Amino acid sequence: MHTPYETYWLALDSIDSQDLTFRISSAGDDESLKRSVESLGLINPPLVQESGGGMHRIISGFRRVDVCRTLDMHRIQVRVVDPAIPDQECAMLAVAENAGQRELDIMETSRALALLGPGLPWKERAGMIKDALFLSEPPNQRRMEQVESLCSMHGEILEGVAEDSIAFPIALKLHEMEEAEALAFARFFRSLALSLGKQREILTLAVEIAARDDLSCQEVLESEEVAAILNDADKDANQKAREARMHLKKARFPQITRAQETFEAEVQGLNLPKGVRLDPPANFEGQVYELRFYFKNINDLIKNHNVIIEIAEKPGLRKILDR
Amino acid sequence: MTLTAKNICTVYIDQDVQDLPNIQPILDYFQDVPREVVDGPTAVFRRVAEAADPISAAKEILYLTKNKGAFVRKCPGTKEYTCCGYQILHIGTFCTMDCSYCVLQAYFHPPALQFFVNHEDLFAELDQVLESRNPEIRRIGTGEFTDSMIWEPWSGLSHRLVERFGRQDHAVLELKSKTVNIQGLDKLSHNRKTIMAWSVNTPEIIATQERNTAPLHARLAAAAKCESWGYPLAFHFDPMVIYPGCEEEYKKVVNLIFDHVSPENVAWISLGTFRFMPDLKAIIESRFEKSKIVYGEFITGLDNKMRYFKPLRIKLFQVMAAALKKRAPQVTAYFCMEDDEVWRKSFNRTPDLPPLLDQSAQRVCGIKSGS
Repeated sequence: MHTPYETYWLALDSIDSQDLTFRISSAGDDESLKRSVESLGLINPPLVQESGGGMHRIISGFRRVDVCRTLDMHRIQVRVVDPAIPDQECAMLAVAENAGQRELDIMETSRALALLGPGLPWKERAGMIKDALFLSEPPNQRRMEQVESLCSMHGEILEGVAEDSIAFPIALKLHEMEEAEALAFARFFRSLALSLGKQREILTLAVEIAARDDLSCQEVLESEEVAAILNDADKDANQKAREARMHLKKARFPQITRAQETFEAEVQGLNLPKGVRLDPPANFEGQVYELRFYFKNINDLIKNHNVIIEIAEKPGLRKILDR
Repeated sequence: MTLTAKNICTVYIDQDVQDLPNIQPILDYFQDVPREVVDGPTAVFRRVAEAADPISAAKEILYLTKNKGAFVRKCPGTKEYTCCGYQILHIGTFCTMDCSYCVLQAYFHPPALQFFVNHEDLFAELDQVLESRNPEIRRIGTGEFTDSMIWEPWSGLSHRLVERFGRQDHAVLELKSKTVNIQGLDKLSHNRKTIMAWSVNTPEIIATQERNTAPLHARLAAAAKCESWGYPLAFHFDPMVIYPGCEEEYKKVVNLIFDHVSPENVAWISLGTFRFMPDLKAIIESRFEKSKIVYGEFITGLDNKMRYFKPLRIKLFQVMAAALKKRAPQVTAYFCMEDDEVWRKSFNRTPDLPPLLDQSAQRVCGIKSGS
């Protein structure tokens, strides 16, 4: 594709910044762009197309036009494509212009994908996406559709993705939920800084508690107990995250967590010497316990031998093993 | 639900079996169903795999083929838990009924409703097995990879199997089902060497998790009918599902069983709580949206299957052990895939399970002791 354009000077008043059809860029560092325009002028003129009534819509260069307005410029140099060029070709130009300047972030990629051949069969779209994004390999349909779905997500989820408090795989899951449920998760995740693994764990716990107890996820996440944890001003985000996870885990697996707590309390009651550790069978399923200790030399080992005898004679240990 | 011409949309016939003598009566039965002769399973598997819901699609496509492997196989137990030493008679795969917890949904890739029609091979192998009087092969069942009775009324296989087992005294055949397809069993020369067995569960679990199966009262009425025809019986509480009030409900099922049949005709009752391969969870969540059974307190067991947390299993088993002891103390009850701790805490013993079940078969079915 080779789209001809002409470069000429255009009054800023005749550029329609409200038409966001081809906007791809996320908010960026406008201050540095401003300094660059002030000192060097517009190195790369925005790409526009006449849209009727003497007005022009922007194909690429939204931020540059905005910066020029804040600098009270009246006229800027632009590249103008023929009004007969169809939207789909303009979209290709918009995406290629952006992708050629920088690595697009996930939101920009999402907006770019939404512009490239929506409604067309995947085979056709794949070619457009490969060309416009300068990909070396054909794009993966599932992955591209997932990324594309981002830009139709609720604003709160998008903000979470943008600020990195909602991981992309989690955002995709939220996108499939009813809005109220999704937003309850989005608010929860945005209030805590959690890794993807922990977000996934909390999502699963809450969804399963809700399904089991005929509740909504919103009711689970906005319960009094969870609210008390999240609103506790004396706790930092890490403490809140840990306690909220523990609370949900306890609600999802009450008997298992109770058994773990009982075991820990009973082991504590044994007053094991420092560096000695007693672990239960994995998941309390098997029958083999593990006693761990460390030694540096023969004397240490002999000392630990005596410790083992002492532990074995503790009545508390019998209680643990006879569970 | 019986596999009938009404619930099958296509019959595929492997070209290797199209000339077998027993194929024509089957095709006569399915005369109004579209059919296609295929060169191996690829076309069948592709059709199933391409469906939006391959598991549901597989329930409507019958594939008549040959079992090219062994017909008699050892049940795939694991060394971490006590196995009963059962032998599977491999007559076909998959099922027309649709239970949420069914492991066959995740076991076959893709699932296929295959019926093996090379019965001459089957009976030749069976003759060999029975004549060998192998002491490790005393209990053989067809209900592991499929339901034993869905293939009635068109296959004629149960008839032949029952009478074949009736002519020997070394082993018993167990036909296990959730159907009531027993019409063909009357007047067969079974010689008490065929045990008619039903999987049982609480009415709530049957209603919510076992689509297209016979209700409990119908299963028990069928069991009573089989008892009246002289057949020994067995019942399998598997999978038991833990939910609020389940203990009382399962106790009621124990009592209902013995309101219908006498304990002396029951060869065994097995108990097993719900356990599943991790892959099954997503299948249940997508195919049975209202099912809550995967939201119990499960842990990863020693065999890497998900199982209820052990104290919860033991609690339910203790209730069942007490109920069985009270109502039918002479009946042999056993656990399917549990460890010594569960046995000890529920039944106060840790048995050598295969001989225990063999002895039950000797007592109730009259197979000969020893080899």
